[in-house]
Amino acid sequence: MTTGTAGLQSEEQMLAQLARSQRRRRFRLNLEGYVLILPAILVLGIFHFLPIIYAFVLSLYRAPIFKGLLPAPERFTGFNNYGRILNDDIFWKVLGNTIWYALGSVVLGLATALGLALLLNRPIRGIGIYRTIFFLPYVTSLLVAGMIWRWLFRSPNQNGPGGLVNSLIVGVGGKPVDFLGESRGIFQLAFNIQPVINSANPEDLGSKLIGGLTSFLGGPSLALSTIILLAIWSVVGFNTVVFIAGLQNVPKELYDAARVDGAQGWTLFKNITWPLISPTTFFLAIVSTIGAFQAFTTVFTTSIDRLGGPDNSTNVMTLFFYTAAFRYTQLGLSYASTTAIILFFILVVLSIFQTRLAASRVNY
Amino acid sequence: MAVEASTRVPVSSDALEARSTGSKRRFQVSGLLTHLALIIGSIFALLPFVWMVATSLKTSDQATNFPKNADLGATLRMFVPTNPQWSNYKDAWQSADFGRYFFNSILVASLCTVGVLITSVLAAYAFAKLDFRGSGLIFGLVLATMMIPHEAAYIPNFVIVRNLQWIDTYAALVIPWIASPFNIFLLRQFFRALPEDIYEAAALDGCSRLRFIWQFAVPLSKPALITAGLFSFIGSWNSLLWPLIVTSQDSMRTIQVGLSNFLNSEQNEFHLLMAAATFTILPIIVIYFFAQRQFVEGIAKTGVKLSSPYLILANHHAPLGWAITAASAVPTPYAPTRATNGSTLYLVSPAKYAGPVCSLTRRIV
Repeated sequence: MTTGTAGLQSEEQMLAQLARSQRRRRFRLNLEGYVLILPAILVLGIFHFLPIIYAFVLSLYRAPIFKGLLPAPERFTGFNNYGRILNDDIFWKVLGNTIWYALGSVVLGLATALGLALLLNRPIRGIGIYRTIFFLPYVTSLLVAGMIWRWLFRSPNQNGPGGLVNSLIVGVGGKPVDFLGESRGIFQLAFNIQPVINSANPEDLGSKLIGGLTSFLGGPSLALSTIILLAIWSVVGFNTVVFIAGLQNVPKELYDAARVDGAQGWTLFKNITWPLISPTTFFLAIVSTIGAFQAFTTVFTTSIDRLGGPDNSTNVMTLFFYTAAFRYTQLGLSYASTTAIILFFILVVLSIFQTRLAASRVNY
Repeated sequence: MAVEASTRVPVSSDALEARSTGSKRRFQVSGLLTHLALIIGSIFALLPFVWMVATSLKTSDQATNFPKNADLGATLRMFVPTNPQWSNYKDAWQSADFGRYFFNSILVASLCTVGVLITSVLAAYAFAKLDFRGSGLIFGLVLATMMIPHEAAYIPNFVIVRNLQWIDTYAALVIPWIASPFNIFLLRQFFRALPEDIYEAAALDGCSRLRFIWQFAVPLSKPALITAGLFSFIGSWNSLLWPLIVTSQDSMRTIQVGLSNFLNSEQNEFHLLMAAATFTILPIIVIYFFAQRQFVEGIAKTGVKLSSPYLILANHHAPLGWAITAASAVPTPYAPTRATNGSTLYLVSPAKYAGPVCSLTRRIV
């Protein structure tokens, strides 16, 4: 009997010991995990995650310049900055420009890339060379690309056409164009629309609204369109490469089967290629849209005065808050933070919207 | 049309031959058209570079001396610089402290790259292999930071850096960028594919976790590390806004900030601007030509991977000889929700994104 109880006791002890050692192992594992992720988490937390909350806090103050981590308490103004921004005509213009920039660079950029990808997804010689060439602009810094763009699209002057593009236009008998200095919208120019301005009472909200809307519908200014072209040029290689990868994941048997049934060309594309690459298209659309809303270097480098000119027609969100924070210090850091928070919310809403859309529309 | 019809009736050998030459000719024509379209595209892609180099070899007068009248030939001849002015490069180099800017950029980009790789390897390994408490939630938060626009964080970061008294130091240029949620995600996928028993066997031999990561996990995921490293380096080299905000002294400027200032001061000296532009992108172009396979394939993979978690598996597991190669091979119970779930959850609720990937991994193992 005694030996039996002793055996039981030792069994209990063994179990307890086992549980203890398991707890210890578990603790060790947790600790190991936390230590390994610590460096990354610290950096991401301090410089990427918290700043959004911090920017929101800063946006509640009216303090162009301040010392320390927070402005003085009496500077607290609640949501006043948001009201100020919503009444800021330039902000609305900037928002309109940003929307055109995103629309233009995403839609045209993806269409061009898909076209190139379809061409490159065929058994032809020299694919590697083409791919290298199309991808080259993507690794080039946007600053350098913007400098070249300024030079290529330089406006005409008393000495002649000014830049290469105008020289080519003159060469084929056209009239030189003031690419980067033209603040009128491209649709407005193309269809010769006169902007609607209620000259009797230009400060009236209604006439402001109509004026703003018509100027938005006039399209991106020619200057902004030139910069959109730069954005497309620089990123088209990236999109093409991703599209090619997407195309190569479409099973070849599907095409063969459809061809046996007599389908070809456009029918094949519409019924097989397009639905099957929809995840890739969707991914690129989201990435490019987020990228377009954050565009800074293209505009900062290429716009004629490097501040979003002429007449704010190339000013976009990021440039707007950069100039607010670091150029026009009467607006300053808190105002810029407000813009940043608005930009953040636009992107969140946009991503959710695109995702919803994709959930119902992305096939397969 | 006739060719298609002929396949429906029994065909004689003559008809067969005619059909094959017909489709061959059609193939050749469409191949020619494809090349034509691609060559036109290539001209658009390359023309700005050619124009940059051409301008950089001219004198100031030659550079802006466009024909006043309609003379296309004269314009096109401007692509070939007569009497190339190699001294432009020297002049541009000396008219600002480009040596210092280059040094700063190389240092900053290298430190960023090394930092990103170290933090990402450690974190990715922990997320992939250690089932520690809260790992799913924390990983979800890490992925969520991918959605935050960097620019929105710049003002608060500027205030933080200013309070740390890091303005005009390398710390300000490097430390905020030594972690990358994207690379953590990328490497985690790689590490997941490593079989668990390798570590257990190594642990029995007294191999510590860190040593295991360094000696097994890192060498096995070299392709992913090279891709991640290249992108970090180039991203850092090309970045402009952040260095612009946190540097004010000339001696701390990176190459992009220096060049941006050079653009301000030499507005109309296009031959010098283009010379400076050329030597600024030269290092990246050289790296690109040597490592373009890693670039292009890295992008192709990550793009497809992010657009669909199942393809992530497909590409990452390929080196270990696992069986999935295409979307069609994904087991059917998962296939219907694949695209929507994969990309949707990745962007909206990253915490849930880990779900389908790991359940599929287990299933296949």
